[in-house]
Amino acid sequence: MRNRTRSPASLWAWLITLFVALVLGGCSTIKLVGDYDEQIDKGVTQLQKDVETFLVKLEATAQKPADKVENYDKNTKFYEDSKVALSGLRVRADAMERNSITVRMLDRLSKNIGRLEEMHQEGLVKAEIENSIRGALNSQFTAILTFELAKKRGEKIDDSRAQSPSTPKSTVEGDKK
Amino acid sequence: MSLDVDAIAKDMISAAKGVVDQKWPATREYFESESKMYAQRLASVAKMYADGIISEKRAKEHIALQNEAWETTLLAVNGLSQILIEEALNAAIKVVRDAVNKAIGFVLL
Repeated sequence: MRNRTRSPASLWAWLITLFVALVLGGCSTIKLVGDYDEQIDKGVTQLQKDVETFLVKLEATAQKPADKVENYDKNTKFYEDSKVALSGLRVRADAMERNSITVRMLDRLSKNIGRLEEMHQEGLVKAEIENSIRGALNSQFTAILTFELAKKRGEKIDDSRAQSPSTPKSTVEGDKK
Repeated sequence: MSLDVDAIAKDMISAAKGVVDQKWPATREYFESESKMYAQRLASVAKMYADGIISEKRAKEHIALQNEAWETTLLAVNGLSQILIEEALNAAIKVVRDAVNKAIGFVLL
């Protein structure tokens, strides 16, 4: 079986070879990833707020961790709105050059919103939101925003919005209420 | 016109390494932080199942949800690494461009 791990020396050799090829080809600067897009930044930030508002509202409908939250039937609008928002973001991201990573991240977020909807249809308890769902979705929002802000290149990233833990540190003790 | 190729190559590597040294720690910190959170959430799912709060089927659904989120984090790390490589290469290119333009006396590159 081939070992595909590159040593630092071979990585530098690869980078220099790529560099020489680019310079000889007349390319003075290179771009591997597309540009920052304010609409994606704002859209994803807004969607995160909407999702968090929804989860807080759902949690408030149950008393104890093992109690079920409000039925899916009373909350269909959230899922409809989220799908529309995600569809719009994906179309915009897909229209931009060298943006496949952002598109793939949005697809994964979309899949997890779909999973949340299926779980909610089957019945969801408060502890599931607190211990799993919120953390997973926030991790995805953080990933998308961290990458989008990094596309600004050279500009200082707002530390309060990126590259910070996606969820508050918690223990595996579960809900102690 | 004279160009010291060895000196330029040394400066190129130094410029690229400078970018990597400056920017990689933030990406590594992000990756390490998210790795811990992922592990904690998997443990929380296992505990919910052990406590009888969720069924085996639901536990598997939560694991799928967590794995999807983890893959999103890995995509972000991939993207951040690509930006890092891009910036390192451009820093190296600037060294050559500046050296050639200076030696030749006008803006060639």
